[in-house]
Amino acid sequence: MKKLVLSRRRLLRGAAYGVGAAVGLPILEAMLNQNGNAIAANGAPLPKRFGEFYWGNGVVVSQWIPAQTGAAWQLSPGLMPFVKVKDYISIVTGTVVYIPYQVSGHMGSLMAITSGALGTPQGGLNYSYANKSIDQAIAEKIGTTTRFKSLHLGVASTDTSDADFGAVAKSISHNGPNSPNVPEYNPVALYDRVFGAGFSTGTTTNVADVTIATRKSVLDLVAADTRALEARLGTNDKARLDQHLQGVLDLEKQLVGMPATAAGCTKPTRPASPYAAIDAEQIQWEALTTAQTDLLVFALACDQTRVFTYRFSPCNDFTVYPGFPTFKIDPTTTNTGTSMHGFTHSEGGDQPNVQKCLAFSMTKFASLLERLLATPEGAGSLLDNCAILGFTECTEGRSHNATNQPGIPMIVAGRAGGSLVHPGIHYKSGTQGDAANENNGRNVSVVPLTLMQALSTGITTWGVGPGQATKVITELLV
Amino acid sequence: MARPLSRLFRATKSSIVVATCVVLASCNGSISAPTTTDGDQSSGPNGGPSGGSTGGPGAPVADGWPSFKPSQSFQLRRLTTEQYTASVQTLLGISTDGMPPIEHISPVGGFSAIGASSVAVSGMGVGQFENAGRFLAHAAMAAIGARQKLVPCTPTGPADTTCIQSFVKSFGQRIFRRPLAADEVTAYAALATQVATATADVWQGVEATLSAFLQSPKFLYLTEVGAQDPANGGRYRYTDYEMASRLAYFLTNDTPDDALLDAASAGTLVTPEGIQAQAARLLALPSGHDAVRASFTSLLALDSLDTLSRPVELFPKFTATLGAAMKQETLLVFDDLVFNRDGDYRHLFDQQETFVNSELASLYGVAAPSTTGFARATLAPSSGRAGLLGQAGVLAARDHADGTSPTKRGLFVLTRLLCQNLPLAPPANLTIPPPPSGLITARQKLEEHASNAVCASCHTATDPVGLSLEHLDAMGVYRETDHGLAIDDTGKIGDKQYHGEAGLGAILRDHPALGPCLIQSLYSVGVGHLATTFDQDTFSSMVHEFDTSGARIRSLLTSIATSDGFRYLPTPTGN
Repeated sequence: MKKLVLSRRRLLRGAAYGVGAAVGLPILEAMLNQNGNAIAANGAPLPKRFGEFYWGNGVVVSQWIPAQTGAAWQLSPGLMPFVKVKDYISIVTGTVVYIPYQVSGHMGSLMAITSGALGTPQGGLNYSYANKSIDQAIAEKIGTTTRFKSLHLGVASTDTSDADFGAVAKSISHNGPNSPNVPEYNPVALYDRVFGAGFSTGTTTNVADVTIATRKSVLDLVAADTRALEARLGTNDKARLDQHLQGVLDLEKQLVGMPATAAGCTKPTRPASPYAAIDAEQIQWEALTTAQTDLLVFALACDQTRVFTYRFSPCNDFTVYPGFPTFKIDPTTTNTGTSMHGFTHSEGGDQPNVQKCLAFSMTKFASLLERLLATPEGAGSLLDNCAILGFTECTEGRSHNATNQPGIPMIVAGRAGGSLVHPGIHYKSGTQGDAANENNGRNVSVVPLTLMQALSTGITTWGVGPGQATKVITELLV
Repeated sequence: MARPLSRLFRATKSSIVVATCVVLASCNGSISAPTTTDGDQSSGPNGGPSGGSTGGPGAPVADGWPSFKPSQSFQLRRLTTEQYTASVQTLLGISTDGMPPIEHISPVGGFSAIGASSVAVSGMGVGQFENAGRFLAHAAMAAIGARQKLVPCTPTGPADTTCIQSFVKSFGQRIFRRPLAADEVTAYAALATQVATATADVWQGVEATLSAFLQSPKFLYLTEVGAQDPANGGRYRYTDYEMASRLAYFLTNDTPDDALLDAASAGTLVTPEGIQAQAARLLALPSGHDAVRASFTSLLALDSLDTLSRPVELFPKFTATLGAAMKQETLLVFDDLVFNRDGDYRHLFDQQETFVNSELASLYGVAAPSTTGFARATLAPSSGRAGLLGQAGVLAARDHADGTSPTKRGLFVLTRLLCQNLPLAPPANLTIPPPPSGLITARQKLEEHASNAVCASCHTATDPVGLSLEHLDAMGVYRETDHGLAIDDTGKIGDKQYHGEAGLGAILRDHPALGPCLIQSLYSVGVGHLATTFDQDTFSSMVHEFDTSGARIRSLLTSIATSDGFRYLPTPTGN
């Protein structure tokens, strides 16, 4: 295979949105073997990355789920935004939640899908995660050698329902009970964290920097204090503090920087603004999404992390999408507002306004994939080395269905280094699941387990009790 | 966990009533399944005075009482954002303006202070503590006055261990809320010397040490391990210094002051008398008032009022300052109740007195105060308002920008004020038909919901409460009509029918769940976790005392602080 020549123009084209014109160079050509599919020095394959893209409130089934299944699938009206990356995505439908969650067709099913486990009640509507989430299980396997074990970002941040629902309302990524990895919604803060102090563009680490050396000395003492404190605690509290300690050690690692394979990047430009929410209903959708997506692509291209979650929109708030007024004056219509959530409950038929909101999320998901595809890596693109799970928490916001056909709408994107089927397919689960008692469709946990396998994590089961999957979707794997 | 038979029986009875919802209840095979009234009652009053249950189907069981979880010790409690912020202001003597954000604790039971005992800080959260610590240390060193207060001596250079150690000892004792051990003094002083040497600037050494103090888990968490109480059969109690922190963060939401640390040093915080004296002192401090305000801000979820927005097309009288005024009104009412009048909590729900500024005076149609700011005002019974729920912000904080949310209002009354658990969306295939057109008022729309069995499982409990409050619009303005149609303010809570906000207020005032629910919230905030079986007896006696001594909040706070559950640990290392 001919080695791809890095074209500066092509890189620029990929990076020219919002954040600025600086170019994030991927893993250096010089470091690759002749085929461009492995690191020359040690023959190691190019790293695989995992990501999640979450949008709230389901889909409009009639418009979103493709009519055809298998390789012959065609883009449905709701999936048209993916026209440029169709080969790189598979649609998964018909898998369902078997975990008997008790609270909210949004929060309960979201917790079930992301953790494969039933939450633990802690009063009222509040349940805590009983298992770590998908991304963290994967990060433990593939995220330990980069500066960041995982990165978490989002766009619509105005949801305040954690006062009632707790941590599940805040993130799709959880380390365990009451330990969400809250998305960073501020692109300036995201930039500073990833590309600020500790970001190394060369092949050396940063310890020579006096400021960083001081910060590291401080963290050494903090770590020592943390260990001393741990020794006094019982098991549960020790585990909590151990996570804090891990955070301190990770931060030291992030400050020192990572030499060698991570090198070869120039920094993106610091975003001009945090693009903060205007109020509880209005956010700066376009500008914020552009900045966030851009930083994510740079972070992946520069191998700062191999695991991310992108919480694009929440399910349970009243954020208003672009193109809608922030309220309705028409007295004959419902007063649940012009938010996507409002429309899911107020609209009949094919829910044209829900479709409009959904189209926005799909467009932004597609543009992330396009950006990854436009970023060369080795002989292919960054997208070739990604496995990205796009999902929502229920079939339709109108019904809150998560437990019956047509199941949870999902998109599997990327090729996971050649492990995922390409071109993509529409996999529609039959109603009989892997276990005899699963007769509404296959357990939704088979989807993350399939990706865990595609990512060569060595994980062979995912989920707990009725949420557990032990088999994968072989049709998605190569 | 042992459950008296009578309690099981009553729990079962109420489950039958909601047979349509027990799809939920059967899910985890537990008796502690949601019911119409307060489902999470895997346990109830230990023969205690739950009182007021009227019996019959759907009768409240252990109204407002917590579900006592299995006993467990909680030894590590993270400071909440508010506690961290207040503490660094007090410790450093500087403003926190411009401080980078720190990780927020997801609330449990409505309070971050309760989530604090189970939260684990994320990787990003550790980075945020580092950013904040560096920012604050730098700011404190840059402000000459603050620096002189923190470092009373002037170090002559990296080798001036005398001065450096004296700083480490004095500041360390304040920030760790206990005297430092010798090895801690050595380690922190060594950091200062190391950095001072590397940078050839002794103040950078001090700044680095300050930054380390601010990031240490010994500051960021209350460590509550306890020690044996020789006078009490060897039970484990919190130590003097642990008690100093518990009292300070419960009653002032701030780090212990010098007097409290002195009391700990003198060994007086392990007796109820010693605690009582300190509690009275702390509650009288400005930070004591702030702590009470903070508790009720969380309990009533009033923070959304800070950013309240309403479209002027629908709410021409709305202004950007109105939300903050609404919040201030309600907090002034609480401050007055607790600190000025030492009044009966229940009376909050039907009193006609409140506080207004000129903006609220116009909203309520009463005379504006003669001075700027807030003044006491009395609303006429004919205003259709009474008590807490009649205050503009308390309901508006639940609403959408363009209209009321009777469902959320009902949910608020039932879950926040009465601590009831509701049956919620069952994991079944819900096919909710699109709403028919031509429904105009909130009542018409929601009654359509209730006629649909699937929707009804959630809405039958919340909506009859919320719909009775429709006279108050999404900005808290009294109205007679909704979209031109007369408002029907019929309401139903449990099996009691009533009319309007004042009618609900009168029922809430006498509701058997009202007191226990408040106690449950404040007690859990005080001890920093949800109540366990270890707290059961304490809780029973507290409910009794509250009932029989006029439902006074200040005395409740003192009872919590002096209670066994606040002073003793269940086991030395039981978690």
